[in-house]
Amino acid sequence: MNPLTVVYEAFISLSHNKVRTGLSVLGIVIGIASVIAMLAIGEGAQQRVEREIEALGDDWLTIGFWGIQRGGVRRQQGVPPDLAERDAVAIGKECTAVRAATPSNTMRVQVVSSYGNHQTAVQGVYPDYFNIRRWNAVAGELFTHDDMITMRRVCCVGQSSARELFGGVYPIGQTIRVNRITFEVIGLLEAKGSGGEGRDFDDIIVFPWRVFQRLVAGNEISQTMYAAAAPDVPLSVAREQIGSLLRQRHRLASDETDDFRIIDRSVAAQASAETTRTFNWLLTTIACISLVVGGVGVMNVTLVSVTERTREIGTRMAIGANGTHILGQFLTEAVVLCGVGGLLGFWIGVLVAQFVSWRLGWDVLVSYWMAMLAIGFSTAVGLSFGFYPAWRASKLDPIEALRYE
Amino acid sequence: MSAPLIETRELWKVYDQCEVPVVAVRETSLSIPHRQFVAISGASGSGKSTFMHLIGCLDRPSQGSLMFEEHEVSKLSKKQLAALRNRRIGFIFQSFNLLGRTTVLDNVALPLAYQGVSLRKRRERAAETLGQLGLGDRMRHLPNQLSGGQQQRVAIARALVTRPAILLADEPTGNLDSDRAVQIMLLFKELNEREGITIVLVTHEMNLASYAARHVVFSDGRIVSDDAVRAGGNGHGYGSSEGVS
Repeated sequence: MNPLTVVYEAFISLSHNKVRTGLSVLGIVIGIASVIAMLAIGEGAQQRVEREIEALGDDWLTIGFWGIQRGGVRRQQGVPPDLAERDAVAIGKECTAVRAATPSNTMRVQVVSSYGNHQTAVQGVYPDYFNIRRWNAVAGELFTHDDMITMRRVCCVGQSSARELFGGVYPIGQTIRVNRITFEVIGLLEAKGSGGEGRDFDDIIVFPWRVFQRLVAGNEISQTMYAAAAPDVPLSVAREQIGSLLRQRHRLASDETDDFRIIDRSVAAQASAETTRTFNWLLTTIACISLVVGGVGVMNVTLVSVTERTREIGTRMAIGANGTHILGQFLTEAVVLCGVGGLLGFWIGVLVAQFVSWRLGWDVLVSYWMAMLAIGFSTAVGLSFGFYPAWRASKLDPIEALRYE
Repeated sequence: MSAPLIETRELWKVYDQCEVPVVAVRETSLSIPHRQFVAISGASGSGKSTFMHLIGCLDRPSQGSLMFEEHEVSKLSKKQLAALRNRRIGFIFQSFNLLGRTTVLDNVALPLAYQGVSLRKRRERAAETLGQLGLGDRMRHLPNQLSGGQQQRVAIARALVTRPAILLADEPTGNLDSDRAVQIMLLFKELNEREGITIVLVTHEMNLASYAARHVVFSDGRIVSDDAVRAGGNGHGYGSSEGVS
């Protein structure tokens, strides 16, 4: 029998009893809708975390001296002002597992351009910083070691800062003023996106380390370094090497604790990604349970339909339908029922996800594979829960079916 | 003389699912040649309906031989029986058994769907058959929008659409008034005489049996009388009683 005919007949017979069809399809609609909503919300959260990891990068470390106590005294005084720079240079030179290292000094200041002014983060680093963060210029160029040594008054601006300072004007060749000192913008950095807690990685202006220390930083002492692992070297090895080098350089006895801290920010992000994944699975599994409940509803209504239409089955058998035809007919009805429910459920799920995103401001993500999944899931539910009633129908004895009142 | 369309030899049908086996048809031998119009009558429970189900290939005999054309029915699989019913047999029921949610046209086209005929072709053939039965203007109606007589003619169209060798009618006029009943009988007679279709009519009304060329009476699972009521116009006036004890 032509499959199109079978589907057409299924639609005819389902549309006959609209209320019952509607009620039985409701379970599938709710099941699929909750699966889709959970997936959309879960995917949104997942993507947010992944974006954060992407923006952070996963092969570099932050090394800091902030707030470390040594012998019960906060080790603030007595730290040589150029400790960070000297340590960073040493790390870059001596640690084989490290590809690049830089001291860093960051602060927030008011920056003035000829178009406006803007409170932003300013950062002084070695040009190696761009290598560590794998950060490129989308326009102009990055500053170099020569620029740093010759004390050129140049800077590279992040996307957000450039927008705030210059609006739509091409920023390369423009000048900005910090502490009444004029710098030339030579590079526009590629977008890094935003991280959690509303942090914008692109709201920054990066200066060559020396000129920054001399003209911008003032008395602010750098307490931070960045270092990146060499290619194909695990970050943990780099971390190990840096730790022992710093202990050695700071002349720490073996019973003394570190007077520095090494932070791998991607570890925290990875852990949070893992949590998000687990939670997604949990939510989706719970949603699937409601889908199974919906499937039982479909099975029930198909059984009722088979009983109700025993005479029809007998007639069809008398005029030449075999067991396969009858099986196909009722299985198709169950699948069509579930398929329609799946489509409807998909749209309702999308609406629910959008509502959640609108009300709670969560990230949601609906992709095409979810629609495929909805259709696939609902069809599978129709096949598995429609099979038993359809099989029973196909095994009916034609004469008894014809006599059935 | 060619081989008969249907030939039964010492046919038994015993229902033994119950504690006491019920014999519905016992030791029945009957031969129905092509192009014959046979009426089978008998009291209810006489086994005439079971016999009709057997020769209609809806059921397999318990014992004995049943030949439908060249097929030994007891040796056919369920699927083969379905195909045989579909292509060679047309059923007509007392309560019409039309699909209520389906148009007259698609009801008539349904047997062709099980043959895998395309939608356009089977609607064409259904419309043609309906036209021949004077129902050309009712094709888009649902069955319950027609009178009983019209519904039965739709059912006859459904039975005829596959151009079967035999029509099996089980009390076809049981739900109709006598005028309509006579019309249906005349239609059968015409189909038999003009188209040469073999017809087996199961009825308990003696006056309707008189339209047939041959009258077989069942009682207690056996044939108790078999005669040619009229030596019908098709030249097959089988008058002999077969299998009567």
